[in-house]
Amino acid sequence: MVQKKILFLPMILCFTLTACEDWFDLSPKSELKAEDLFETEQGFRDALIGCYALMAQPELYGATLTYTYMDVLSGYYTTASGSLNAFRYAYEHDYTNQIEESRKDDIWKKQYNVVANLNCLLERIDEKVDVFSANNYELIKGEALAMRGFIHFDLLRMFAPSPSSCIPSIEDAIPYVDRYTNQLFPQLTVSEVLKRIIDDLQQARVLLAEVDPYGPRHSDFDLENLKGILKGRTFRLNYYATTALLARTLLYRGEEYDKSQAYEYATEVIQSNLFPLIGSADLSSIEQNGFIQENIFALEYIGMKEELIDVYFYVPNTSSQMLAISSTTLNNIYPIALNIDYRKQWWLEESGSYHLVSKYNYSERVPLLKVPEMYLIATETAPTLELATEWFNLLQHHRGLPNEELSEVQLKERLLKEYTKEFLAEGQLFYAYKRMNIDKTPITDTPLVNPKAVYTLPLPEENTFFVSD
Amino acid sequence: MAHKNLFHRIVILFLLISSASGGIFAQSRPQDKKVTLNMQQVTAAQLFKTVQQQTGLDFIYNVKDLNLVTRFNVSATGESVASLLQRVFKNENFTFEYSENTIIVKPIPDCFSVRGQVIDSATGELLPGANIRLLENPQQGTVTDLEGNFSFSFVSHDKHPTLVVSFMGFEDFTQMLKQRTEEIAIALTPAEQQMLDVVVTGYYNQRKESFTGAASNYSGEELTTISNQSVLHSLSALDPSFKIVDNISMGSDPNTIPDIQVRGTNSLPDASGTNLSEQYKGSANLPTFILDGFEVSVEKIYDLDPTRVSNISILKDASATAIYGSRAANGVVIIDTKAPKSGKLRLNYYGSADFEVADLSQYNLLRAADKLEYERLAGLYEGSDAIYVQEEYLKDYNERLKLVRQGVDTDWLSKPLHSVGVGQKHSVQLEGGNDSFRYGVNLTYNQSVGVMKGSGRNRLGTSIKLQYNYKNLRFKNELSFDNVLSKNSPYGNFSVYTYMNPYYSPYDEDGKLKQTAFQSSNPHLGSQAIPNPLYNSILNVTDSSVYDDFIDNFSVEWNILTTLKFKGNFSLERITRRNDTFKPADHTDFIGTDTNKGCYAKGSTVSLSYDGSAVLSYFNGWNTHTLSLNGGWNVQQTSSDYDSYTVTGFPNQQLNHPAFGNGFEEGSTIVGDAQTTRLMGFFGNVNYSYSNRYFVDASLRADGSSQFGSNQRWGTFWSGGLGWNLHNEDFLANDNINQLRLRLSTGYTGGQNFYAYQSMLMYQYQSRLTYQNYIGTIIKTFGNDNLKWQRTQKHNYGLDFALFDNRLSGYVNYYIENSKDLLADITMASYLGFDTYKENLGETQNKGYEFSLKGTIFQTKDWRVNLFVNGGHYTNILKRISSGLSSYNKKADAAGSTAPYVRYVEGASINTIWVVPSAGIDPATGNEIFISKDGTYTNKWSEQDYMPYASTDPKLSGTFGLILYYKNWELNSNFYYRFGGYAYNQTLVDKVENVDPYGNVDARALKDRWQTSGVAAKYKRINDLSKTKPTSRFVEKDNLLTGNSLSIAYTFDRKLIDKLGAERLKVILCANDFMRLSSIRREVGTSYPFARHFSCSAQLTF
Repeated sequence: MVQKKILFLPMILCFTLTACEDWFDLSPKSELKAEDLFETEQGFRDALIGCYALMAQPELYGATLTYTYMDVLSGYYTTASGSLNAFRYAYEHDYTNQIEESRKDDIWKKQYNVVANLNCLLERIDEKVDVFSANNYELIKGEALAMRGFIHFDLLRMFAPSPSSCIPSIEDAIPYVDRYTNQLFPQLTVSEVLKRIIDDLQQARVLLAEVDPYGPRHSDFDLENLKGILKGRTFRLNYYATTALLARTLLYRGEEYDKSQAYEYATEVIQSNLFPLIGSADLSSIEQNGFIQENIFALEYIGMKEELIDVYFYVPNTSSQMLAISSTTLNNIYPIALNIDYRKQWWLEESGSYHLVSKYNYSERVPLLKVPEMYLIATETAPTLELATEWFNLLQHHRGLPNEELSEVQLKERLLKEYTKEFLAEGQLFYAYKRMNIDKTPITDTPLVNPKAVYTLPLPEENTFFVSD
Repeated sequence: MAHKNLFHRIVILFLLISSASGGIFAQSRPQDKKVTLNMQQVTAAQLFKTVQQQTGLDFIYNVKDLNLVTRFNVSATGESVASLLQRVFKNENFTFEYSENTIIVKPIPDCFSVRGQVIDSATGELLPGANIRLLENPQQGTVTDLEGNFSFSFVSHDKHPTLVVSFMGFEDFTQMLKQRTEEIAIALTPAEQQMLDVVVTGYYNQRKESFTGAASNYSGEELTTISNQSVLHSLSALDPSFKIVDNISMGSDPNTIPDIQVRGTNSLPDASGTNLSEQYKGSANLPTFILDGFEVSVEKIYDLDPTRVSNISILKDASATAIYGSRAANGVVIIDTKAPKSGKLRLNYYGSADFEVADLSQYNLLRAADKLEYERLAGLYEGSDAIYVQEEYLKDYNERLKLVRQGVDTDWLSKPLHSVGVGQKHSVQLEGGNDSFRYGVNLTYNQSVGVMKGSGRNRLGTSIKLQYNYKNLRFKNELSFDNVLSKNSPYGNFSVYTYMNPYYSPYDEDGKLKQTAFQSSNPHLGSQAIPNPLYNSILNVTDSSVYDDFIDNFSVEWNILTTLKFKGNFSLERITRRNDTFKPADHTDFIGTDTNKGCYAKGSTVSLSYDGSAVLSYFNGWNTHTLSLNGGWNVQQTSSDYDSYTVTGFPNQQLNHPAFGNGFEEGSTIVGDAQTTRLMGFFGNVNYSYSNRYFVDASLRADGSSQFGSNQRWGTFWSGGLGWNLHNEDFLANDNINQLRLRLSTGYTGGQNFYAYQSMLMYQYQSRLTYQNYIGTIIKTFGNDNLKWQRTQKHNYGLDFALFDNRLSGYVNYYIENSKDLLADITMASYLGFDTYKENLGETQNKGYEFSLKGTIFQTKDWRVNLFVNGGHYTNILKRISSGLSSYNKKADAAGSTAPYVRYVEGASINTIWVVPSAGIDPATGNEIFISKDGTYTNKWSEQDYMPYASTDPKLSGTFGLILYYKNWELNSNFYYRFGGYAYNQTLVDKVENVDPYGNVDARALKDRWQTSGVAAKYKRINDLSKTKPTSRFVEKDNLLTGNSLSIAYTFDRKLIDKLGAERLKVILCANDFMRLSSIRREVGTSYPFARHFSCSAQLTF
């Protein structure tokens, strides 16, 4: 009798033990375990949204990699050279100064942090195809792959020499991090990294082609009234953004075959007509002064005006971070003869003897890829001079400028000038000079003794280790 | 003695007789000799004498045996001796042995068989493990089983053998047996002042006689003799390995919960500081506290009424702690509260009046005139060559000089302090009931008042204990509720007062407190308003926190068989805590701000925990074997939910509620967190002892926790130990050795005092991650699924002894603790996306010894004088550290602290003081000269020259004291000592060299700093305002002697108080922290002063 009673006690214990692995699975309220998060489609979406939010941080594309630091490097802002300005060492391309070293190291770390977040998502998405409804698996995976390519491409453009300035197949570049791990990665060559980026982008493009409302099948969708997970894809890394990015990447690699491909991709984006260039009629409202309809991929930052724009481009807040353009510099960007340029009229504001960037005053989006670049890529890669001039004049027309007949040499020269005008406060000019391996500084045209030292930011010293092979 | 002499005489007689009459009767057998006699009412001895006269045969016998034979009548005619003796003594237990001329009378040994039960006469509780011994032969005996029952069979020549029943903690009891089979009930009386003979492990009790672990037991009485304030302080005075970490800054603040270490530090700090929430910092070495079987926080113990405690055990080594598995690395402290006693309704009252007096003897600040002179010498008024500027400086100086001349010399230190802080304490306990039902009700009120005006801690508590016995079942339930309100002084931080210049006056012309003590305008500082901290005291300021703690503790004991027992326990605790800080618009914090003056910060935490356990115990003893087996299961869960916010803009100081604020602080949101942790464990223990001489002990626990990676959820911890009771060995059977026990043990325990979810790959949602109206989520920590439990291997070698009739007793323990798999931050390659991840990498080693010695040096009927001393020493080595910690050194170097900081270097101790060696102050220039690594002298301080200069570990530290009893008087003293260690005199550097010359400074800044060339000085040039970095010049010997407690108690005679209807009345006068002698002169209690504590209390029982 008693014996029986004693036996039942261990039985309870055994029963409890078998159920206890679940019993130990706990999470705090504001946090979620990765395995629990990726049980639902929403979890994947939230993790992807988190990556966009990370990219939009001021230390990344929210400011540093677009209208502040990157454009200080390309010499837009005259005030940055002031001895009290926070960017004075960046203006001189002195990357070894302590502040600048930590600034660029921080970019490196934060970019790779986004990559880690993407890898964590990508490593789990294939096991969880079942949790997705409709075509959302392709959409999220495609977007994440494109973003991984996007970030690696910008890291490559910052921290490795351009293919035109080196032998890309032997020049050491950066690691291509495609797994969520604490294991080390090898340092790949420029060619290898570019190949990996293009592979990711191609894969993303294939995934998105059939399902993205901003893709070849856009006519099947009511783009004005997208719902659910499709909402907001207008300026995210959609099919056309991926295609445009491929065009940009291929042009950067710059091999003969790449150029014709880049041309195809650039024109595909243009011809979708989803990102029309601005016209004189559109310029009636101040909301359009950022030309946001031309954005293919942009990052949204709510409160950008108060938190960031006013810090750098607002006179009453004049501080050591003030970024303004002197009249001389302005005339280098937009020649006086072409005062009618829409961009000069809409993107700048006069303030005494300086001009301040005003293109973000009414927009909370920072463009990362926009359709004018596709026109410029088409111009640069067009099979004939005739076609090239045609693309070029199309863009000129939408900037309020007259058509021109140009020779091949003239066109190349004008192309670079066009980058200077078009990408004011967007952080792309520096890369354009670097891509073309120009041994002069942008805008001021000062000759560079050691262009490589200016265009290639040093890798972070501390804690950067690679696998030896 | 007497019969021994007799025996001798008989033998001698026999020898004489046999030699004289040898050969006469040699031919026939002695027993065949014939006798003829007729005697009335004779004793056996008389009969033997007659027989001897007739036959010449000698008798050898024990007089004592014969005395038991009653007188008898006998007659015989020519009967043989053998037949006669056979006939006469047939009812007596004698046998007769015949040799040539002698008859040896031998008693036949008796077989006895006794059964019985041993209980505690006070509580009626059964006493398992009590010792039952035969007085004539202590080697023979048995012990009581789990139910307190025993059965004991033995053989004795003694007709009425005597049993001795002993159980430590109780008076010995002797019982003479009247019959050969007997059933007896023995009630033992508890002996005060004696250590209990059981080791309380929380889940079950073990006999100390066969326990291999290192554990110390203290009774509630011992604790309250030291201090009526906090159990923690009393324990640190009693046990050499239980230490309260020095808190120079917080002094005697009643609201600072002490940090405790048992046998030193075992964990590595978190170098990244990113993943850990603040609350885990600094407490990684706290032991686990178990109150009535339920794990509680150190704060709960801090607030526990010491008079409620019945017994405390500190479990130190692996053998003692292994059954706590993952929570045992830092030691375990088991606290049991008093159980209600049966009997008529009894009322116990304890009341005391407590007095706090600030101890400012270490402060030595400058007076008004000297302070201004110091400022002048420090060069504060020599700014510039420009005459205009120089005039401004002079104006500022004259402004201050005017105040000095006016005779303003404010003693700021005394302003925020009570001359005497008076608190009180009352505790009432009602108890009663019978053997089947007992109850106890407890009510406590404790108002402790700090020396700073307005600071204090009010504790109000009540509990109800019920106990019900039914057949072999016993149910117990305790319900307790505590409310603790802690208030911080509206006067603010004490250090502010130490910086106030004496020539500032807190009052305006009308004698009213002003908001600004001084308006300075100095070209160097600009215009500056010096706030008057006293002004805040007249405002409606709130700085308090209150918590309600509700605990229900239910247990059931089931004696299934006499040898088998089941015990189940379930506890539930709910704590709600609220913090309120309110500063109205007029508060000096808002001088210079125009908008949103005034703020209210409010925070609240709710936590709920439960703990359940089930233990099955088997205990059995045979003649020479004792075996005990325990096995159990334990489960616990803790969840907490916390939020806080700050509201600003309170124009009206009377409207002190968040609802009356203008809005949230700019950019702030409500912060909070909610989390749950779970733990489950299975454990078992075997204890076997052979003939009370040799014994072994083994324990095992498997713990699973929600805090660990899914791949390493379960951890297994074990221990094993051996022991030898030398005092039970024949070769040491000596009246002077009462106890001599050797113990050794080893095993693994674990630690988990850290942030719960750092091991996992966690995603966090945050409002800042809002993008396109979705809330995004990102990875919070890298995560490591392979993270395992920290493990500490503990070796312990111990010796317990009691000598000279227990007049000298004590123990010695030597231990080595190797902590492995300590969680450490590993630096990651920067492209992997995170700075660090957690890995089981660190290793530390602690080695040390501890001893305790108690002796009764003098004892008469009225007097007893006891002396005790205990002490310990330990060293720590970092055996392996992570790259994260190495780079922490670099980061710390770069931060350029003026205080020495822990540098993590393999092979060094965590307690090393790292400084740059100094050759002193150059008498020519007043600059300090440093000795660089290559031995050269330099003026430049450099972190390259850091040296492990000295260690803060004392060579020996502990307590000693004297306890004196005279009739009803009792005097108790307890002193703390430490010597051989070093300390960096941080407060001296900060008050003499790293001073803010615009605030008040130590007198030595004026007197002992270098002023004139050629005159040697202790401290650097008076007008050198640079900060002194860690230098060996301020490393000082840290020898300390403090008076923990001194008390005098008087217990009134029963006869005197009988008229009042009282049973017991004891009055106690007690002084705590009454003395402090230190080799270092430094300010102690910088943020809150140290205080001396006096109390006058009475214990009354009706």
